[in-house]
Amino acid sequence: MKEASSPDAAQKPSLAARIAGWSARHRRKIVLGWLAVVIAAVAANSLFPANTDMQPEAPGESGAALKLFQERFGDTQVPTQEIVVFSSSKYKVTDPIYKDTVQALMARLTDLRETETKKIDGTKIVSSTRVVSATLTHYDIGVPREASPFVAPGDNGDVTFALVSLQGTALIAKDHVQPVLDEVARANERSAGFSIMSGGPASINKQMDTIISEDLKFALIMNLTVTLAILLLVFRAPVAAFIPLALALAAVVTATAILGIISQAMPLSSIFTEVVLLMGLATGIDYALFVVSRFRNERRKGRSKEEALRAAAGTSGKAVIFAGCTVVLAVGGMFLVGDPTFNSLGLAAIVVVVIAVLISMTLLPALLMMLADWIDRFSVPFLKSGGEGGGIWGFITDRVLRRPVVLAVGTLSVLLVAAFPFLQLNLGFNGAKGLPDAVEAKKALLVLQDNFTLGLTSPALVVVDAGKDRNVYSSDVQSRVNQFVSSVQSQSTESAGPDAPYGVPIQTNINDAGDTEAIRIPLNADTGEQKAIDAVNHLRKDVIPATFGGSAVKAQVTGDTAGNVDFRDNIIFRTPFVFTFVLGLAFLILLVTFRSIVIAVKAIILNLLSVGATYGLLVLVFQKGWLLERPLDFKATGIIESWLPLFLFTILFGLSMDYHMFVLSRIKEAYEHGASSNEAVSIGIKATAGTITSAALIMVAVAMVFALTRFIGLKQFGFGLAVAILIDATVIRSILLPASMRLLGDYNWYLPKWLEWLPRVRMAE
Amino acid sequence: MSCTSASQKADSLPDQPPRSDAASNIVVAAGQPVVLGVSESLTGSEAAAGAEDRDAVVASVLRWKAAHGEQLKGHDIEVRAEDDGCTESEITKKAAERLLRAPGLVGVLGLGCSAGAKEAIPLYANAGIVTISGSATQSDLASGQPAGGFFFRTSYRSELQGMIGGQFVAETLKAKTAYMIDDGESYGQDLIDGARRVMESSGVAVTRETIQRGSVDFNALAKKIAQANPDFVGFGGFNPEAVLLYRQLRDAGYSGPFGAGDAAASVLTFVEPVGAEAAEGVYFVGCPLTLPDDFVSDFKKVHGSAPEASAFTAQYADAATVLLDAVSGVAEEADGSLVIDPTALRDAVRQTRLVDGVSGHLSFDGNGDRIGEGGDLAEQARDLGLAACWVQGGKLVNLFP
Repeated sequence: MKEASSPDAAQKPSLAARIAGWSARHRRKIVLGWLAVVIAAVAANSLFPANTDMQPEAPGESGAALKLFQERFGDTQVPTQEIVVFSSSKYKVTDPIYKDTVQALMARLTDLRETETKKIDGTKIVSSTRVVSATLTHYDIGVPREASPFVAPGDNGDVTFALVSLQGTALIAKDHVQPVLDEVARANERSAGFSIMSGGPASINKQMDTIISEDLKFALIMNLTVTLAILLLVFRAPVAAFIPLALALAAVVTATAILGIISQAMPLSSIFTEVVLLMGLATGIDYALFVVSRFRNERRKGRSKEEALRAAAGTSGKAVIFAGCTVVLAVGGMFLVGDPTFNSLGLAAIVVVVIAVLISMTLLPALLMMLADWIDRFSVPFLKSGGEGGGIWGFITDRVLRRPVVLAVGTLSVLLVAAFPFLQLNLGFNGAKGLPDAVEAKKALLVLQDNFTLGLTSPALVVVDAGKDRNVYSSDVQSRVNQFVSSVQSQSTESAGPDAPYGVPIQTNINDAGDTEAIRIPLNADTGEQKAIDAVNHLRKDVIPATFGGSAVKAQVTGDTAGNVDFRDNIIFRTPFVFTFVLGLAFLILLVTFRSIVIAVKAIILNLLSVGATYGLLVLVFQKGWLLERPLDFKATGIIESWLPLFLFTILFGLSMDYHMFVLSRIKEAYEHGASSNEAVSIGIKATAGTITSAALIMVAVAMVFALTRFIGLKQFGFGLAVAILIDATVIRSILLPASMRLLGDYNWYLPKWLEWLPRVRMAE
Repeated sequence: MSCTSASQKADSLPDQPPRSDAASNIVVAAGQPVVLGVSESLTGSEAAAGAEDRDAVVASVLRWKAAHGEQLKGHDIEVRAEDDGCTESEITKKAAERLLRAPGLVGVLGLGCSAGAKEAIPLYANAGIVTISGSATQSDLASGQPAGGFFFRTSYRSELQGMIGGQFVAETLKAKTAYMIDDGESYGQDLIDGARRVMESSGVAVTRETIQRGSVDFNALAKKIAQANPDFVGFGGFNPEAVLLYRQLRDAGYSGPFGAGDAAASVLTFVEPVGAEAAEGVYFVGCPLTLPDDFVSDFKKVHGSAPEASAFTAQYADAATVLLDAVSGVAEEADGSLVIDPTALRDAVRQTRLVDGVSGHLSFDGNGDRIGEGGDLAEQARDLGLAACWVQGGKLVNLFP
């Protein structure tokens, strides 16, 4: 089964080595060329800021209803509502002071103006517009205290809320809500005996944007610091440590500029830069680390710098190309989700990975040839060298190769046990309860939850379409709408008690064209809670068919909860396609690279094991709240974000395949040099142990920084990524991989005869 | 074209009471700009039209500067637009109070809508501040204004608009019966009263109806009209009421011609909501004028696209020119400051004779109303910048002038 090396193939340098050789010979041009590219990219980034005005598209019924709503109502016809909550422990709403406090604040809010200043050809133009278009309070509806949907009566004092309508949609209103929040804060300070707070989609969006932006800045600084520190520890030489980081940053800057240009034609998600940073650091550093490490090792063996470069490029450089292809294919799976955010992030990851590969194929060889042994200058004397001996991992590998069955079964069992909680995965969206405490609006929402319903800020929106050229005011349509509203009303907190599925008040709006009606129904639960999901499903499956069924009138449900339900269903529906695509293509790449069916299948199984264990641990920690609530500073909500598993899978699969590719390519290289299968495994794992451990350490640290941010989705992502890489770089690489290769022996390289036509890719140079 | 923009959240107006003394001179301090106020609806359903009226003022100021120099007697020119809420008169009064606190305010271009204008005109008159509206068309707005006569308009009067419409219905459409409906507000009542007079004098049997501005359900009225099946239904009021009434009429089975006034004449707020196919053939009086090419070109250079949202772009452009000409004529320089006698400024505006304005020839009568020199209604309409149009292929296509 073992292939004889072809003498021709052995002498002829690989494409990667030829490109590296050419780059080394033209090093000045290459370095200056890349420098020009990076400078141009920096300029492009400042001159043409990326267009991140990507319109999220909800799938399914909620998407269709939202689109119809946006088309028929535009940006102005249904305002965004901010909810101002007044609580007092000593005044009732019937007390004059309560009325004065509420009405004075409403008057100040109505008086708020926002000014925009422009200067055109030396002429200053100041435009002053209203921030608040209308307010609605208990005092406007003429209902007694006890019957008012705006009042929660208390023995000592009452709680009430006011609906404050802001101009435009939530995305527009978030940029204009600050004066309202400032005015509410001032009123809170001034009004003795009252607590006054504000919350709603606009303030939540604004405050979340601020927090995410702050956290991402923190993550960037932490990541760069930690990465440089680990690289210093690995290389013991500042120049050598700096090169991978500098090249990764060059890839990040260049990719950001390219994506910025693409975004002018195809707007991207606002978080694309975070994906570029994460994937750019991860792959850029990995690729440079592998090539630089090999180069240094070859130099230590006494080879000339040309020979060392040829060896590094022909082995690690070649692996970089295959690893890059695998990452690109894995994240390419995101396009199958059919969601603009996934498309944006997939594209961002692909562009930065391609640039990172190009840099490591061209710029890195040029720099290595230019710097040669200078990369070891200024070595830090007290740090120990990594070398290729394997250290602790060599020790472990030796034990594994001696007792493969016991350790393989034991490890497999542990991973399967860790993966088991995955069966209880509850996908959804963390709503208001999952917001960080730093979001001021959350305080108002919690008061609403205690006294009214949390769903006031995220109601179900039923869009009633009278039909083409039809009149929504016609008696037929209106009688059905009334019947629908009555039915929901009878199941609301007002009629059916505090545990009812729906809250009050139910609000209706008809568009200016008179063909569409929008009905806002507060759900009596947080967005992601099962109670809210059941309430939406009840509307869709029971109430709407019972009232609008059999007519030309079409009623569809959208809103946060309905959108989340449909998004989750879409993700669940698309997941098998994404998995099949990613795993299928990865199988093909591995098959071609290693000319082995067994290696390809095994690599995929091992990857799935680490992904499965990660999913299981995510459920334990974030869904069930095991162990890490306090260290990571969060409160488990019982929900894993719907987007996370699939997003994590594509990223993880790409990154962990990186390591796998490097280990396997080194094993194959040894095998091609004549080592037995077991010897090749031992050599390959020991030779890559130091480098992969360093690369993994960097990635774990980078990912854990995200786990320390305040947004629950980022926490889950960071934790999942860190755990998966940790599992992959430790138990998978040092135990399961060698154990399985030891057990399979020469069968590792099995290739059916009918696949002999596959091209021969040599890993040895 | 250099353009910079910056948002500022804080209110930059000084914390002082609004100007309220018509007898005192207007002083633009040394180094300070001459401020032209704009009172228009910048939010809500009339926002697109209001913003375009403001933009017409800006384009006109730049054209004036190109012809007369960068500064007005050593002072920069600033445009300050306040959101006046259209028919929300409380908001219009707030806008007036804010503009009257702006240092260097020499006059106001607006008010946007008649209902708000009625409440705010006394505030400006009290302060001796000239206001020139390009869009408030209620017939007695100028003639019924408080003593002092600081209010002018470059727009026509609703009554004339109604009369032109009535003549068209009687003579061109040859209607014998008609339902004429107003929205209960002075603008709509004026328009429909004018139309009714002309139609009845031409032998058309008119049934008069009133709805309430803000109401939405016209099914009962629509059924009644569908049963009567008149030769024409006319409406004096705004969108969305015009849209809703029209849709419900068609839904009730009325298939005859329908017409409305300038407040409803909009592709954005009438044709698009109704749908081009369903709106085909609807008539309007008070349509956007065919603008001179040079003005459209200048407007596009400044704002990036041609005007299309407002029926009164031309009238606001001319209002700005009239005010700047008048200020330039009467302002006196003193130690770097500009001193303006409000009465002199008012008189200068009143004596304006604008030849070849964007909306045509322009002059005012003693009340402050724009006057035409033509003899018959059609000639007057031409002189006053009053056009009629109908919906063809989703667009407003002018019928005359």
